[in-house]
Amino acid sequence: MSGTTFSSTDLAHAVVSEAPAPFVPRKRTLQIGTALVTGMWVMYFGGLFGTYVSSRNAWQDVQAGLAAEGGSAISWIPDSAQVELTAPTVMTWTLLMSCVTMQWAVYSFKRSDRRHGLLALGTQAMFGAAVINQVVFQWNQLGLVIDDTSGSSAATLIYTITASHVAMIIMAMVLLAFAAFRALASSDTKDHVDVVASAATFWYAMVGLYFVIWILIFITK
Amino acid sequence: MTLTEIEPDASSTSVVVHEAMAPAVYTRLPNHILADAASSGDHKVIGRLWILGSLLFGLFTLVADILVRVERVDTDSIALFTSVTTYEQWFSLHRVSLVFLFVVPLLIGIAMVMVPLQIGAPSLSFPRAAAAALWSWAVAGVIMVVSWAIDGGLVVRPGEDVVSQATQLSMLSLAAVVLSILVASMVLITTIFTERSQGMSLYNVPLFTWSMLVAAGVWLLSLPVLFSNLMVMWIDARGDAAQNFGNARLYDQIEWVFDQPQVFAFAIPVLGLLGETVPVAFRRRLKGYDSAMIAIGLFGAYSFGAYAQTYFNPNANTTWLYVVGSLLLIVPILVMLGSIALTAKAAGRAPAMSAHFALSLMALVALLTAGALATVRVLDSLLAPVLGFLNGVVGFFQGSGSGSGDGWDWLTRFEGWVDDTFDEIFATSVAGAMVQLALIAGLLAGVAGFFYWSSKIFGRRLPTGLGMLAGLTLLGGAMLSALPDAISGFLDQPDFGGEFAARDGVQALNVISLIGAGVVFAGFALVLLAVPAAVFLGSDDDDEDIDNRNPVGGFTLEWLTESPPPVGNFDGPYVVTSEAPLLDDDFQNPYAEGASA
Repeated sequence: MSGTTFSSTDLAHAVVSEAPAPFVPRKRTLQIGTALVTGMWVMYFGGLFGTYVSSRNAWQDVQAGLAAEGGSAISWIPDSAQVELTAPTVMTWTLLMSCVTMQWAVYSFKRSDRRHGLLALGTQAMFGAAVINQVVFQWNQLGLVIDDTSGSSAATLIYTITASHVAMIIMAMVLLAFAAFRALASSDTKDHVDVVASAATFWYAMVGLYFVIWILIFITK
Repeated sequence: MTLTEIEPDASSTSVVVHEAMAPAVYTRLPNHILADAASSGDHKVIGRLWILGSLLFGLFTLVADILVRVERVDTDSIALFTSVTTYEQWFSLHRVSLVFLFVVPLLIGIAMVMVPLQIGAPSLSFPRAAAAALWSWAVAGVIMVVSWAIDGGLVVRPGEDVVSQATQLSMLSLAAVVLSILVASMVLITTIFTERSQGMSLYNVPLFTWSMLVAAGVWLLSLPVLFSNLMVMWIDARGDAAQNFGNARLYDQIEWVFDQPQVFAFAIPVLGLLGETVPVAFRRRLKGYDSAMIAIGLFGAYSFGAYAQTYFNPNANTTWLYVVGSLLLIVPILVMLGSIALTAKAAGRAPAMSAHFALSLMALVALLTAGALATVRVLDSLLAPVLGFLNGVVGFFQGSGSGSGDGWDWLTRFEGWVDDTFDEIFATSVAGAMVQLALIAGLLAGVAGFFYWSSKIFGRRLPTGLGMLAGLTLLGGAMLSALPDAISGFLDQPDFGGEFAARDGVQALNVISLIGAGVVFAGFALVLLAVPAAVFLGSDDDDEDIDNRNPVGGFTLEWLTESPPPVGNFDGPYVVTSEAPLLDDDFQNPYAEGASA
């Protein structure tokens, strides 16, 4: 029988020295990787926003033409839908507050302050969950249906954009959990400041994108 | 008061693995090879699997290409496929798989193996993400092909109110394929940013690595937009009744990926590969290395095409950004050509001919031809306004300042000819010819890399004669299939070209195009034969005088390690000061003659 054999001496590499190894700062691999993933998300939303704006403009041009000929124009977001500004505005404020707690988490990690770091991450996660809760509430409130009664693509695009943003919030919360577990498992949270800084980069981009959604969909409709 | 952690007791952190807990000796059975490959995070294993998968999908893609061209021979009716829609399904499948299952994964595979070696790194950044990208791409790719086969695809049948589940599966599987490629791109970029050897700045990385950085960057910025298109389609298709996205001809919404300028983003490594093979062929540094770097960067910038979505903005292809960008695409290719000419002149002797050098030159020829076709497609938007302006100026002077002259008659007629001839060709098979050539250029670059680094990828060099023959066959076949398509485009053959009233000569041109597709397939079969030929018939490595580490005489770091490279790649870290460290006097090469090991 042929095969590769490993002697017990190979396992000697697994023996860790008694003396603790000096801390070597990690390369910025995670931060660069997270920045690239954030860039991907930004371009993804850029594509969605472009589609939304071009579809809305095309729809409004057609409806303006109809109105000029004496016909009745149909609004981009169907009249049957209930677009309230309250929930999106509360979400915007919630996310703005979360930027403060995110910075609190980074600050605490940098100062090896595990207790406050974890507290900040927990608050952060609560804000994220609150926003998801509000999005679900808003979907129920909107009453938008993807059907062919009006011919407008607004429902498809609004659901795609808001659902994608929820997916981004969930991904940001997973990153937060990752940072929290790293903090719990480490002897010094300062060693993992790159993890929480990466999560912060992603979180800020997520907040910025919601700000665009707020203006593009709910303010300018 | 802030609580901070206390430095833990050093003795409590020490961990000793008790030898008694582990078996002293254990045996790894040969049948673990598959499990090892499936679970490996080694960049060489992952890269090889990307290459293997892309070659398998490549066979399928080229067969699909032949079938589509067989159908196009008779333009009056649908003979091979059951309906126009089925034909269009296959047409869109062969385009999608040519890019996302064949050319791009082949380039990613070669980059996964070679980029860490070129920059002197022991591994990729995020090796598990690289493995996840590979396996999700492979699984999603198979699901995508299956979804097309069960009547899915990106062309909805006329009269269908509800988008079929197979079509929805096609959207999702393509989205998963795109996501996998995005993750792989992210891994490559992060590796290039963080794992370079000491002294290797981004200004002196090897040109293939630089081209992969640019290419992966463009993919990373443009393909999420494709992903967003697919998500809109899918959510629309999931609704009670799809609106404008999920029930239209879906392929049209993502056609921008397979059109200029975006399609050139899949051929960026062509220029990088030339930066590797040309210096080796002339045995000297590349002249104009900085210019070549800038050229590759500009080529990447011009090939970003996410803004050119004619489905949503029908005038996107007449904007100045699009027109000027399409014109400038060819400039970096010419700069690279100039760099090659300068290197040849400085060398003062004929290049050492090899399969990889010939293949990379052929890739350049294909890319140059594709670039020329891209320019031709925007001539209407460029020339007609210029000619109109010139004629207006002439008319102004003819009327002695009153502006009442009509300009020169011949100029007016020329302007009309340009307008008539080039206005209509944009959506014709001229587009298909350009796409075909740009992607074949990418494929030729991949094959050139395959031959150039075969000793690192497989541990054996591939036969030079077979490589040259494969290259000539691939390039000849590509020209034979694309150029008749370009001529047919001027005779109004649409890009899809299923069932239409063709003008005289189009059907004959389609026959030539079909023969070309067959020749491309034969060329690809020769590439596939190269590996078994090297194994069973012997290769250039069998000559004892050949240096196992550097059989081609390269100047970059990958040629310092064994062939194939061991786990960890290198014996030690290297300090480099230029893009070709093995040519540097101050580089401490442990394997150079006279060097102490």
